[in-house]
Amino acid sequence: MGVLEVKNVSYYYSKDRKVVDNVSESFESGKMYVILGPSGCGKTTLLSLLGGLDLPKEGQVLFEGREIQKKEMEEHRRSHISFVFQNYNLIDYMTPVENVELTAKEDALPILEKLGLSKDEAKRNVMKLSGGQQQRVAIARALASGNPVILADEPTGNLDEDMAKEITGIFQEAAKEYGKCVIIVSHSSEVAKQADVVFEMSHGKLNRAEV
Amino acid sequence: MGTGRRAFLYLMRNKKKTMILLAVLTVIFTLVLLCTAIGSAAGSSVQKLRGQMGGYFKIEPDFSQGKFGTVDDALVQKVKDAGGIKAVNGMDIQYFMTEDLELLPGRFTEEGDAKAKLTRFLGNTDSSRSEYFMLEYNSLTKGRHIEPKDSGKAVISDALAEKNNLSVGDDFLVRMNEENLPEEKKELAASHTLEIVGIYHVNSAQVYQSQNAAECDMEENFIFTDTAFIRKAYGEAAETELDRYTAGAAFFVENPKELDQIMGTVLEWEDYNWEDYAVIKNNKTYEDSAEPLEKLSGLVAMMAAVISVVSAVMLSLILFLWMRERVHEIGIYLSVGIQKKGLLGQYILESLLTAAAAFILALAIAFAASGVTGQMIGKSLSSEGETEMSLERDQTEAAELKIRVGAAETAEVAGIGILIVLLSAGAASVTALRLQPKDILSKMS
Repeated sequence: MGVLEVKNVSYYYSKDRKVVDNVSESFESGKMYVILGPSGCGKTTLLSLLGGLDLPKEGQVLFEGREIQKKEMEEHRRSHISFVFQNYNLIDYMTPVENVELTAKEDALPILEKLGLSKDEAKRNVMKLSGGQQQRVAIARALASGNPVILADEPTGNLDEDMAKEITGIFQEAAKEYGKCVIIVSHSSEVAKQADVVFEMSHGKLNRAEV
Repeated sequence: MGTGRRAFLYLMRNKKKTMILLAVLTVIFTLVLLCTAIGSAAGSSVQKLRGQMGGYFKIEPDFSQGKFGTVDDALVQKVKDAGGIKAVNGMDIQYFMTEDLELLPGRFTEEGDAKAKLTRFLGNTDSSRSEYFMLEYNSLTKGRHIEPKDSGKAVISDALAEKNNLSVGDDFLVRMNEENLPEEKKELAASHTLEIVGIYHVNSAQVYQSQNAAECDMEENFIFTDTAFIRKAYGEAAETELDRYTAGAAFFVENPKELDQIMGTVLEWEDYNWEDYAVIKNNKTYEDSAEPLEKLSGLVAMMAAVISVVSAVMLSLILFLWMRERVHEIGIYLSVGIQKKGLLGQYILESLLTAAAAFILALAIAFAASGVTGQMIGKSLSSEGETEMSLERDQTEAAELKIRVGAAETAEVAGIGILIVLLSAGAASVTALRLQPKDILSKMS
């Protein structure tokens, strides 16, 4: 049984055009999953459903075998899920340490240092860091939260190739070293190369792809 | 990270917005504090006026009717017993010859007439309640007033005292005007000794003055004395014991607002023929003085209410505009699992922390400004008084309007402030917090 599951999940704005169409899948701890697909194929919507940002119109989202009800979505986001976004989504008036402390269940600085930020960088305004450094802060925030699932929406979309590789490596480390279930939505086949499991999404359908 | 720390960090790292909010709130609180303090000061002054100046009514024999009523001790006591009366001044007006006292010269001195020694004696049981002193036509400059227990005492003018080289504690002799007595009683016009207990100064002469004025009509020559002396002198001449006040009595009520009711009660007494009396209501002094203060009190209360409402609306608009810029931040907070009520708490706390700092600043400003504001309002009321009021006393009271930001005003404005901030921050935040996290995050990406 995976830590996070979807059973017959569908999402639509009108019934004749399903954004997510009867998807069933199980995601396990310690693995990195990548969902590939063109824009508008429904991968970000699936991520929203997995992360408790929205409820499926049909089917169930389960965490450790238990269905997430509407009233439990906030708790699901707080205690089970960590998001990492393409545009980093850091609080712009805080330092990296303070951003990580928003969710941290452990000391923020060692995690930031482990992800390559110096002490000085960790304590300056987050907007004064480079894109790669900001994404490291966002990942550090996800790791420090202690939540078992990391959902990343195009986390390397704004980064150059080398930096994208490094960041993807950090996600892989998060899965292997920290035992997290990492699900990444991406356009990039380079990211998919480092994944344990790759899915392709098309017209709302989720299909396993060859790694 | 807790709500408090998030709020503190936001305020510290967004100094420009914090300073703008601080300035707006400081202005609002200062204005509301001053309005509340002015209202409170005006209210206190009105209350003080009620107690000090009060309203009073006089019962006098109506000489115009020919058959005039008697204001005697029994009537005075009965009115006192009716309730609501805090003080009484029984009054007599008689004329005596001043034996060893040189009056300020008038017409009779020029004419060599014996009446150059005749002057007006104003008998009072309590001269401090004589209209001459109450309305500050005269002011006591030395010694004391005539009191109810006095007998054979006098308060004379500083001009008369200077002319005769007299001071408090000195005596002078007076006797009845023989011309007023029948032939067989002229021998009863004995000399009486009066002791000077007080000296007064004439601030503004009320009686028409001219070069031809008689000595007894010149106010510097007026002698305030006790009614016991006048009763004794006239009683001896009439070979009887007198128990009446020839000029009537003034009754001072505890609360001027009850003046009409008390007078109504008195006038319902059927054992007195009130047509033989002049019953005169006098609370004009109080009404004239209280009117601008009551107007001011109402005006500042309205101003405080308007400022509060306008402030709440203005603050809501400012916070609402700023909140629109924070939608991205809200999305991030929601995505990391911070609850909406936690965010609402943060935004309210940010405003409350700023409001607390603004309140302290406003208190300091209001404390500093209260004196100047009081003087300005006092002057304004005084100049109004100069045109609308005829009495100097009123101007004095108005000029003394003391504005103090006390504990009650502070607590009241703090309460209003908290309410304004809660409403404004709550209203501004709720709009943004109604957005769903998915919508926010979609916008973000």
